[in-house]
Amino acid sequence: MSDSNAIIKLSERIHVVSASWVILLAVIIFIDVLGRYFFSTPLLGASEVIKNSVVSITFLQIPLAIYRGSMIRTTLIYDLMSPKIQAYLRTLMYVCGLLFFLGTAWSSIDPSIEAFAVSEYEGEGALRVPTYPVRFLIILTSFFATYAYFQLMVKDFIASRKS
Amino acid sequence: MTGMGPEVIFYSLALLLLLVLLGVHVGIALGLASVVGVYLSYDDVNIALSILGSTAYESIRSNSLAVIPLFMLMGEVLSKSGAARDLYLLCNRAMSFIPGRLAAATVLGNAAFAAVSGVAIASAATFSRIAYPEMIKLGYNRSYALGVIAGSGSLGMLIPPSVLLIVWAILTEGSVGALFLGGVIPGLLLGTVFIAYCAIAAYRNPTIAPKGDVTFQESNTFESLKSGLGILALVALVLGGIWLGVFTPTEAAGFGALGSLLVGLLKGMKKDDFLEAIYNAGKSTAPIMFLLIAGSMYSRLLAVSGGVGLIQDLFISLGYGPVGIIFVMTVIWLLLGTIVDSISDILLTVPIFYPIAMAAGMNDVAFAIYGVLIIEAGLLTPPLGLLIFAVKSAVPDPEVTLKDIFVGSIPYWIMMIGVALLVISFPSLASWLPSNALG
Repeated sequence: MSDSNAIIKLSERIHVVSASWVILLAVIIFIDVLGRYFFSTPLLGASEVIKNSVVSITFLQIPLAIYRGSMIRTTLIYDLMSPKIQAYLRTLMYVCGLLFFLGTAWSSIDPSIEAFAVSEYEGEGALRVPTYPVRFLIILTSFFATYAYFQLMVKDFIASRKS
Repeated sequence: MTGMGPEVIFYSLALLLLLVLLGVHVGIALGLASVVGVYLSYDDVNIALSILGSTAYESIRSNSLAVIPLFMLMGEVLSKSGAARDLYLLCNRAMSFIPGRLAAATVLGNAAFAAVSGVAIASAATFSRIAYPEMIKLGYNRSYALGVIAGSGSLGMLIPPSVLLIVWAILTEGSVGALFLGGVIPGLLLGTVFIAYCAIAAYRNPTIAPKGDVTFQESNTFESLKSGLGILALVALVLGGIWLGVFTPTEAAGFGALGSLLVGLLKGMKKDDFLEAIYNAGKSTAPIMFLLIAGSMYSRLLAVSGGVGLIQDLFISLGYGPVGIIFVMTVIWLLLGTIVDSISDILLTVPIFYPIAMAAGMNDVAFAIYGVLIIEAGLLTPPLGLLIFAVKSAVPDPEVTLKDIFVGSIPYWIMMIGVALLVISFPSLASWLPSNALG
């Protein structure tokens, strides 16, 4: 039990870091705009940083969203079912989530290795940002999300066995 | 063996609806249905799976999408700061000459608060806690009081920055700024109609909204003036900046987020309050961004399978003309709105509807505002009126029933549909401002 708590705590920490990252984005935008208007020198690479941050922030927040049940679903039919069928529907929900993120992680591996191998960059001139960190971040967080669905499924299974 | 033709779209749509109805997370259902659809089209597992990885990486790598986390942060910080309460007080003063002034102030306060937060549900919940107790204290009719809270919560989706309009713009590859400005006039119109309704209802039947002096607890005029004006300054900064072309929406969101932190500091927010606001903002942002990723997977499937063309032909073969097409879409939106939330409603329908509407010669901004109004009206209808539930869970009065809220919000539902019909009949209501401001 303490293991799973540690994992959820980890997802909370990651969440707080990525949520605070949003403030950093606001500051970057602020400096960029002021620099452009008053000194006609925009912040170098601001656009690349923002783009990659949006992806990173989102994926870093997904595991906690799964643990806290804030992923959007409709319970219209679920609510009408008997507890036994509800348990089946929950299992279906977890299996689907697990498959989705496993597929996402799996299909991201080859392109990421390739991006690393050929040193794929974006941006131009003095500031060029490598693409592989964000690509590998997606793989890691997708595996984390896969594990989150798996863990919730097992927990749910054990709980319904007990009752 | 080669894959199927465009008819594949019907199989994947059926799978999608089935999974959603069975309670699978909407984003997950969108993604899996897309994978199955691509598999049926190409008969190749690797191509099918690659849609997951490539969309995850590419779909939200965009500057303009930074607006969602930034505006969410701004809304959460301002909610937490208690500025909404001050705003309500200020609006109540401004409305003192109107019958049913507390109800009218709720509309005005919601409109102003909506202009700094992206989510209707949040403002409905906020005003349930602030405005409802004050109205009941004065002896307002319960349904009347609840209706105005639930109804005016929907203003938030029209008045920028609105998450629904952002999602719509991203899906249709349109301009976020244009949709923001397009929502302003219909939003003000709807707000005015709401206020007029509050006043007329209270004038005709004074017992539902007795007059009386309002004595807010711990009210401090200077305090409320300070943060009320703070919010108005933020509105001017964000909207004015976009309007005058000083800011892109992303830049406006960045400035707005920093400005909200400043208002929070002035209101005496502590470190823990800020942390909580940041935490909550992240909690509501992640599921929306994830839906956007999954929605793009589905859009890709629609594109590669040729499914959009097929459905478009189907619509045209019905021979209804633009009015009939709009009618069918409206019915689908309202029906779908009873089982899914508004963002999912947009993600499921707009990739299909938008090209059809454009082919039928509709104005893109007016179509978007119309769609958002109809989908938002769905939040007030049973069985899944999310706004109704938000009000129910936030109102500090256990005796309130869902039926009280539904009954009270019926007039608002009718007014929303009315304004929506006005917008689609006179598209310049929505398109005039963006075409003049943005050229």
